[in-house]
Amino acid sequence: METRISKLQKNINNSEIEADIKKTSIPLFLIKRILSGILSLVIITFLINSITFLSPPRERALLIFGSPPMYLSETEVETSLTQIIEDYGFDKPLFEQYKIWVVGVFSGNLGLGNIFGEEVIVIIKSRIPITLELLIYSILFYIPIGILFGAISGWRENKPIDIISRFTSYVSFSIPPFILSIIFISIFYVTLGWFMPGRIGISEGMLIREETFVHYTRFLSIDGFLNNKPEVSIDAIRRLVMPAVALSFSFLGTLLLVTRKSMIAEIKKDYITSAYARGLTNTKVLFNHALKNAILPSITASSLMITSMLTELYIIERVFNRHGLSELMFMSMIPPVNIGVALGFALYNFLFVYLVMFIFDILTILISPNFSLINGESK
Amino acid sequence: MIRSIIRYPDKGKLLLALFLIIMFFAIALAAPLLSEQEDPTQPSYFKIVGKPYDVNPYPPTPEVPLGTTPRQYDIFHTLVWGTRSALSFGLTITFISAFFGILLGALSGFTQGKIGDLIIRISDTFISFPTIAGVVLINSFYASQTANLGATPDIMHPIINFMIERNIHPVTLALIAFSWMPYVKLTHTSVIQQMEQEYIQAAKSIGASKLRIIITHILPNIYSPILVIAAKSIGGLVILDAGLTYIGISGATEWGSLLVISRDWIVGSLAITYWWVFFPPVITIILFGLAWNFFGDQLTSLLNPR
Repeated sequence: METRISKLQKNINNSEIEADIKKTSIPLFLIKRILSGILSLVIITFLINSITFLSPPRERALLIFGSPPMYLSETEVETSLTQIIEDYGFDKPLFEQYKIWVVGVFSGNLGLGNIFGEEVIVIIKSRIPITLELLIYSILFYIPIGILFGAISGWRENKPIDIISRFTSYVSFSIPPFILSIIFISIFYVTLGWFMPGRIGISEGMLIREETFVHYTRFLSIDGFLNNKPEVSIDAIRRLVMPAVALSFSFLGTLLLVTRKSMIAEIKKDYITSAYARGLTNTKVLFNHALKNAILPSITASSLMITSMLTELYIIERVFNRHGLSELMFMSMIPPVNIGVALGFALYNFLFVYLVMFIFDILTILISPNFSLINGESK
Repeated sequence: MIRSIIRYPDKGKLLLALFLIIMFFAIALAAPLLSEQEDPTQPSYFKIVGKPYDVNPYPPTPEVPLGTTPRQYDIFHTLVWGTRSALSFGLTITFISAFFGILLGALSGFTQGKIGDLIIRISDTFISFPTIAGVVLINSFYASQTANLGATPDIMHPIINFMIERNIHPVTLALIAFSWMPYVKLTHTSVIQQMEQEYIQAAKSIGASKLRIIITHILPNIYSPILVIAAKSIGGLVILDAGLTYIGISGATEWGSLLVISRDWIVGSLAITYWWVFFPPVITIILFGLAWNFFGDQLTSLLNPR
């Protein structure tokens, strides 16, 4: 948690993006971003896969073969093992194996092995909506609140509202999300009974298993309304409140402080004074002028927080018993050990982080007042 | 250094940060005095003070200062002895990752060619990789090795065997693998900055070797931001490990295990009726993180008085 903040302080550097865009045009900049993402992907898949590619071929064949049945003789086991090694190309050199793997990925085979008779990619696909729903709601919760209160507390520096927001954000770094979730469960579920853990209740769970229930978005909080069964959505939302708040609370504090700092720097500039001199109201100056310029570091900070947010997200998911992607972690570690699931989980996370960072890059370009989207030149 | 301490404006805050850090070290050192082991030859992080089949937690008494968890584990004993494992966990990971990070950063700063680019690219890649995915990966490799499935390359066998021998948790390895990047980036940029300074040019012109330039000129100039990152990361690592322990994919530090043992009595009780199984471990964990973070903040303003 603390490393995250120091990492952020080092990394928030919008001028880098701005300098990049100034040198080229926006489309070229985006293409550059995509290419560097692909390069990173090649590096990470090569590093991850080389751990398995370098391990002894016979033992990897055993992983696929499983424990040999009693009725097979030793020579029959050996021949089938050599057959597996040959089929999967386990004894080939490192780069050759990586090539086979890449070709496999493009033809739709992630080469990750099976679990419970299902392909890893199928499991990941079925769990994504559950995890994504929680992530999206927490992002929608903490980014607006963090930026708004950060802006206000930077605007009213050392006034009561600033002191309260700063105190809240210090509290929020200090309490790890999983401890906050425990407190929430004890107070709001056990004592007051307002919100529940889990993903969906028993009676609502029956409703969504009916054949007439269409999964439009796979987000239960929206699908219920679309299917004209609002009780499903209401139950799903009640179960989302505690994890979403617990997850966003510690990130809220970081975002608030980042926005506050850039706001303080922004309101000391001359154009704010001139805006006041022209007789603009407080709110207009705050939202139309200062915040527009001060928001960029907050967007960058949010995009950099996404990696640590995923780590906390899986912990929270587990604490609240939502069977999302975090389930894969346990599938991969609890015997029988399944390295394929661990590889799939790692790769999926990596891709996801890059996708989110790309979206935030586009957002930065859209919001930034210095660039017009059409010709890419700075004003 | 001493002069800057004397001139430091917020001496109270600095002293408080130092006091908290020294307190944790003192508790770790004085653990045998604070809470006696049942069998001093085989020190254990857990002590049973009643009937082990009794699943009710009992509130504090004079003999058991912070009460017991279900199955009658002494909470105070685990908190005191767990300080040792928490400190050694945080310090080990931070030292090893800082060592490799500084080494790689210096290498990439000096050889600004393809090797340097590759190192920076790899560390960028690691930054955008969630730590938990790395923990899961290394845990499953470790588990496959202990299950004699051997799906790890031969070069990793000595490391894993060493860890099994010394009873080191795989999370330690995973967190080392995912906390070296800030040091690389920091060292890289500062080496490049320092290389353009005149005093380095002067040192070069009198024929100083590259190693000598790194050790005598560059490292003394970049140690302060590295110390700050290291101090902050010690607390963060222990808190992260407590969270991972709570959901059951780690177990390297004992403070988190206390919460696991009494999980049902914490989340299942009305408004935390059984407060003594929850608050002592949680406050210790939070205080540990806060202390190191606060210490890091004070170091920042002490070493960069701008």
